[in-house]
Amino acid sequence: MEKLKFWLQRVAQLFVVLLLVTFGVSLLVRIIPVDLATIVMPVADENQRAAFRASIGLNKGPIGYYLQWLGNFVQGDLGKIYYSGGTETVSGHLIKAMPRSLLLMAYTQIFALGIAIPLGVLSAYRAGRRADRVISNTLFIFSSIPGFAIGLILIIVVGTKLAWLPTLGYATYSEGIWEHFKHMIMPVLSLSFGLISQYTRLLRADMIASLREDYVTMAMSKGLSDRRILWQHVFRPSSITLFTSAALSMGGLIGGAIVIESIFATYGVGFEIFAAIGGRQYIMLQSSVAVIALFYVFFNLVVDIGSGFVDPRTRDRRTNV
Amino acid sequence: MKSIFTGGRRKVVAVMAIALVASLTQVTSSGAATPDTPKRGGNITVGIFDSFPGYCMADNLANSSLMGARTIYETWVEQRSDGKIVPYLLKSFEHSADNKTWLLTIRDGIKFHDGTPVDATALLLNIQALRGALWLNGKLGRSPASSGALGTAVGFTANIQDVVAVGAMSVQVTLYLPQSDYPESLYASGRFFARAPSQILGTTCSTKPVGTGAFKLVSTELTKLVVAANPDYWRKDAKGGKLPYLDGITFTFLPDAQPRVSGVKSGSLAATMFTSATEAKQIKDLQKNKSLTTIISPTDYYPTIWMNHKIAPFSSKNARLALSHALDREKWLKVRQKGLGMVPDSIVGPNNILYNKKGYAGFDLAKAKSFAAAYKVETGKDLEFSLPYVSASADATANAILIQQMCAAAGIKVNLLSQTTAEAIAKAFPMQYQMLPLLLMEGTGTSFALPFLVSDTSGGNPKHFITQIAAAVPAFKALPVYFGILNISSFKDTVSENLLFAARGESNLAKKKKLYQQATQQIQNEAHITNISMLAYSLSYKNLGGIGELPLAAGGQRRLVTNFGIDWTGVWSTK
Repeated sequence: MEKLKFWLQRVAQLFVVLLLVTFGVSLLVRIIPVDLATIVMPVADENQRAAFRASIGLNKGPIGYYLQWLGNFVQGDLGKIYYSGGTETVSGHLIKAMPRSLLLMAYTQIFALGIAIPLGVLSAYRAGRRADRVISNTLFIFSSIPGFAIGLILIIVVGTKLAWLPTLGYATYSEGIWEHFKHMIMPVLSLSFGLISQYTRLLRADMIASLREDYVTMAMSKGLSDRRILWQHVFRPSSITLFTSAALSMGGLIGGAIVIESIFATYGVGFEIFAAIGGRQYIMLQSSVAVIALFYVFFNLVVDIGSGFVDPRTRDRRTNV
Repeated sequence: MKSIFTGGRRKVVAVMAIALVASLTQVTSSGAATPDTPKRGGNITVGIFDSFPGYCMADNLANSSLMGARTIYETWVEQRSDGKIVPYLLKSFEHSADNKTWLLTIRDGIKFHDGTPVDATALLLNIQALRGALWLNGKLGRSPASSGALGTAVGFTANIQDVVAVGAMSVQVTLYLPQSDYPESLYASGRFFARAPSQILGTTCSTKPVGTGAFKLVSTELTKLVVAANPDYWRKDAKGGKLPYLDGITFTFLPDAQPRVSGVKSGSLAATMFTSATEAKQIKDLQKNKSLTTIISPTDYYPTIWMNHKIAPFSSKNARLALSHALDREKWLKVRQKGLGMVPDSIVGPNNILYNKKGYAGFDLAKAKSFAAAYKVETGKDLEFSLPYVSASADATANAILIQQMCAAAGIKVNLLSQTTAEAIAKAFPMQYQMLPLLLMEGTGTSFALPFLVSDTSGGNPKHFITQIAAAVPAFKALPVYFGILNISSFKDTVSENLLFAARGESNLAKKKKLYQQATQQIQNEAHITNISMLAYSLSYKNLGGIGELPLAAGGQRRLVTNFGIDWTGVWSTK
C-alpha cells in the first residue's frame, strides 16, 4: 500500500511538473510583444485574424488560452503551422520528426554507453595509473568541445575532405540499412562525445567507491577473478547513477539536439524547433516543447522505476521516506 | 521579395521580370568542368534557402523555392540571355501599332500534367486569376471563380483593360495605357506561370501545383518539394530525345548556409543556392573550391530602402537626402558583402534600362550632416527613425547595426526594430513603417520596377473592373488600394510617373531609354527611395552536366543563373 501511495504521488508530481511546464510555454505566446495573428496570417484581413484568434483561444485570457490548447493537446490536436498557402498540422510534422529524433537519441545512448562503460570500468580498475590518466585527460578534452564543434569538424574532415559520409539528411531503413546508418554516424558521434565523458566519469567514481566496499574485499579473499569481481559485483551497484543520468539525458537529448539536427539537417524534432523559431511558428514551438517535456517526464518516471529494479535498496529507501 | 536584413529566407511579394540587356558576360563561373554526354536517370537533392508557402496566385514563391516550382511550371514567354522576351508556351505574340492590343497565340500540342490542353481557355483563366477577376467572381457568386486569395499580381496586371479569347488558341489582351514591353509583364520575372485550370478553379490551388513543366509534383510541404520526371513533357533534346534526363529532384529547405555548403561539398546535395545578401562569404569560399562549379548571376537585384512619404521623418525631403547621403556604400560592399556585388550609384543597376547616375544621392557625410541639420531647422526635431530588420541571422543583424552606425556618424539616430519576416510583410503592404529595406526591384527591364515606382498601376483607368466594382459596391471600395500597394514609399510624383508611363508606351528604344532615365533622375533628385547594395545569387553544383545548355523552344539560350537558379530540364547527373 505504501509503495502504491508512493508511486501515485510520484506520478502526480510529474503530472504537475508537466502542467507547469506547458503552462509556462503557453505564456510565451501571450507575452511576445506582437500579435500572433499578424505573424501567422500576414496577408489576412482583420476579420480573418479575429477568427484565427478565436479558433486558438487567443481572445481569452492566459488560462483560458492554455486550457483550450491543453484540451486540444490531450486529444492529439497539437495545433497548426501557418503559411500563405495554407496550414500543416504540428502533429503531422512531429510524427515524422519524432522517430528520427528517437532513433538518433537511441543510437547516441547505445554508442555512448557502449564506449563509456568499458572505459569507466578500466579507468576505475586502473585508477591513478597511466591508463586512467590517459582516459581521463582525453575525455576531459572531448568534454570541453561542444557537440556542434565536433559536428563541424566531422563535416569538414569526414564529410567533405574524405567524402566518406553524407553531411546532411536522413535516410529511412527502406532506403537501405547502410544508407540509414551512414546518415546517422556523424550526428551520433557529435552528440556522443560529451556523454561518453560524462558517463565514464560517473561510472569511474562510483566504481572506485564500490571497490572500497567490504564485500569486494571478501570477494577478492575468496579468490574470484578481477574480471568477475568488476563486472558481477562492482559494476551493477555502481551503475545506478550512470543509468539514471543516461535516462535523464534522453529527454534532454530530444530537444537538446537542436543545433546538431540543424547542422546535419536530419529533420528531427530539433530541426523542427529550429525552423519554428526561425519562422516564428509559436504554436509549433509550444507543442514541440510540450512533447519534449512529456518525454522528459516519462523518462524520469522510467528512471525511478528502473532504478528500483536495478537496486531494490533505492526503492525501499524511497517508500520508507 | 527579400529584405537585405532577412537573411534571404523569404520573398513575399511577386518580384521581378524582364530584361532588355541582360548580360551573360556578368555571369561568372568557377570550378570543375562540365561533362558533355547526357546521362539519363537518377534522383538528386538540391538545397535551397526559401520555403514553399504555396502555389496559388497569391502565394509568392521566393528565389530558390521559385526554382523548385519552375520545374513543375513553365511561363508563357521566357527571357533569353540577351534579355529579350521570346514566346515559350506561346507560339507568338503580336501587338497593334499603338501598343495597346496584344494577340497571344499558344503553341499547339502542349498539355498540363492533368492531361488537359494548354489553350486559350487556360491562358484566359490564368490572366483573369492574376488580375483578381476570378477572386471577385467568387465573392459575387459568379463563375468561373478561384479559391485563391487576392495577391499583389493585381497591381502588376492593372494595366490590362480587357482580355478575351479570340479563337481556340489565341487570346487578345487590351491595355489601358500603351505598353511596348507587355510580354515582360506577362513573364513577371518567371513568376506568372501557366497553371492548369483545374488548379486555379479547384480547392487545392495552393497545395497541388499542376503545370506543364518537365517535372510533376510528387509531394510538397513547407520545407520540401519532391518532383518526378514528366513522361509526357513536350520538349525534346537536340537529338530528339525525351526530356528531362533526371528521374526526380528533391528541393530541401536549409535555412542555414552551413549545411548547404557542407552538403554540396560532400556530395549530399547535388546543387545548392546562395544569396549575396547574407552569404557572400560562403559564395566566395565555394568559388575557390576546385571540385565544384559555382555560377553567379549578374548583380541585377536591387534592394531598396523605402522611405515612407506619408509620415515623419521621411515626409521631409531633407530627411530622405540625409539618410541617402549617410550610407557608405563602399564600406557596405567591403564589410557586409565581402566585395561581392557592386557599389550602387543609381536606384537600379547598370544593366537596367532605368539606370541613371544623375541625381543619385551617394555617400557624402558632410551633406548628410547638412541635411540632418536642415531637417532640424525645418521641424524642430532631431532626425530619428526606426529601422525594421528581421533578426533571422547574425548577418542580418550585423547589416542593421552597420546602417545604424553609418547614420550615427551623420548625426541621425536609428532605433533598431526587430521584426519577423511575416510582420515586415504585413506592415509593408500597405506601409506602416517609417522606412523599410526590402528587395523588390530586379532585372534589366521595368515590368518589375515600374509598379513599385508609381502611385496607381492602373494608370487611373476608370473602366478597370476593380475601380468600377469599388465605386458600385461599398464592400469592395478598398480594392483599388492594390493599384498603389506596391509603391511602399507611398510617394506620388506626377513628373516621374508621366515619364515612366510614356517610356513604357514608347516603341523606339532610344527614346524609351531616355524617358526612363529622366524618370530615374527625377526620383533620385527627390530622394523618393535610396539603396545601399546590389545583390546577386549563386548556384554551386557537383557531378551535374547540361546546366545552361538546353536552348529555349524558340531558340537562343536562357539566362544561366538568376534569383530563381537554373532550368533543370536539360540537366543530368554524372554520378
